[in-house]
Amino acid sequence: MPEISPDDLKNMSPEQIAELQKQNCIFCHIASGKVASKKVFEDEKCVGVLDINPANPGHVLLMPKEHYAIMPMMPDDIIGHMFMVAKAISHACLRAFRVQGTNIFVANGVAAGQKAQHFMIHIIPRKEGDGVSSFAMPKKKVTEEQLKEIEKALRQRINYVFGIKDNEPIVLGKPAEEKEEPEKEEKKEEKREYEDVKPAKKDVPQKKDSDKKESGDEEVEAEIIEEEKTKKKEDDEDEKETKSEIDLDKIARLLGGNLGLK
Amino acid sequence: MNKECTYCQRIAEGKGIIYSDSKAVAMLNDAPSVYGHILVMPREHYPIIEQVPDFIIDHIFRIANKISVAVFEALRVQGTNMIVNNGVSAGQDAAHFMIHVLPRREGDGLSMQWVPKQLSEEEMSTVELQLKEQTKTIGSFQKEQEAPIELKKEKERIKVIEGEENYLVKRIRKIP
Repeated sequence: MPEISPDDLKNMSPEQIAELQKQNCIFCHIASGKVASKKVFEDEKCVGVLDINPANPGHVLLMPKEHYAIMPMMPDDIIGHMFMVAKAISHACLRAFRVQGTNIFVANGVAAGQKAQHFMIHIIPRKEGDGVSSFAMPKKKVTEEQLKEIEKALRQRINYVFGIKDNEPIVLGKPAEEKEEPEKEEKKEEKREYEDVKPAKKDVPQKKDSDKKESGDEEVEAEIIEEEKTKKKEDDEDEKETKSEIDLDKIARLLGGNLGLK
Repeated sequence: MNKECTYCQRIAEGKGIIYSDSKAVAMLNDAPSVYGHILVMPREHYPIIEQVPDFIIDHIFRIANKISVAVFEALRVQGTNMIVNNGVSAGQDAAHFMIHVLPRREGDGLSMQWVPKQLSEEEMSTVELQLKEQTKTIGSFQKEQEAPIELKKEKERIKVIEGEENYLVKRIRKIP
């Protein structure tokens, strides 16, 4: 690679500088496969490799294939996708190493401890007494006034970022989703009734002949029900798969137990 | 909502909440590690990340990112950390899944650095194989379920022919 003087840098366009950063980014080379690494996961948007300086065995770096320096520069869909993958890798760590927890860690900016010029998500398997203490959260005391002051400063900016009008009150209490729940239950009950009645109907041939139109509708409905059933089966199978080896409930229960919760 | 969970209660009360929508809530931590320590969490009660549905993960991290952007600008900091402590052994201390968003400044007293563990080439290969075996299945993500299909509200009625006993009653009589 040719040497670039500071004068050259000044004359370069932002696009050219971005291109230069990509060329010099070791993690871009790892993602594209030019530099050898221990890849544990890869799809079209991101790649997960083992950290060569791990905090714990199984420390994974999940990074986007595109070059983004920090998280705020990334498009929303890649952020969403990568964290869904991060969740799955965290689950994979629990199963593979039989650990009881994981840390998911992101650093934006040098002040936050970011070392590479390429955004990445750290996934670190954790065991009781493994000596990793960097993610412990010290608890400091604050006064109500201080909290209000921060809240005021943040609210305005957050509203701006999300495009919420400043005077709009925050919606509290029951969100729309919760209200829908009782309806769903009713529908389920109806369906059950319907299915119960149906077999009895077969015993009456007269009725079938008399209402042919209805039976046509019912066939469609029967199909829908069957579709739903198959969907349910698939869901159940998925659940079985994920719950196969490691007991997530146990990890969750442990958490509750420490707090005196159920 | 879990009645015994302090965070579910705080969501219901609405104290110190700085952002809220139908799935996610962001609030200030009242025992902060740094100035402006924010917690982003789902409205629903899930103890650990593996129990949170994928579409909520998708949504909640987008929100966390936007909050991190707002934090950069509002508090004029030089960096942010996003941390999920998942499980007691990882330092989680509340049974409600949450993302910590920490505004960071040079010399704020926090260190998120770790001492690297030395693993031999052989150990690294074993770890790689073990993990690869488990990441094979990653690929399909759970989407938000659409509203259930509406079924006919009318109930099926059984015709009663006068003078004749209903066939259902007949069948019941047959049962010994």
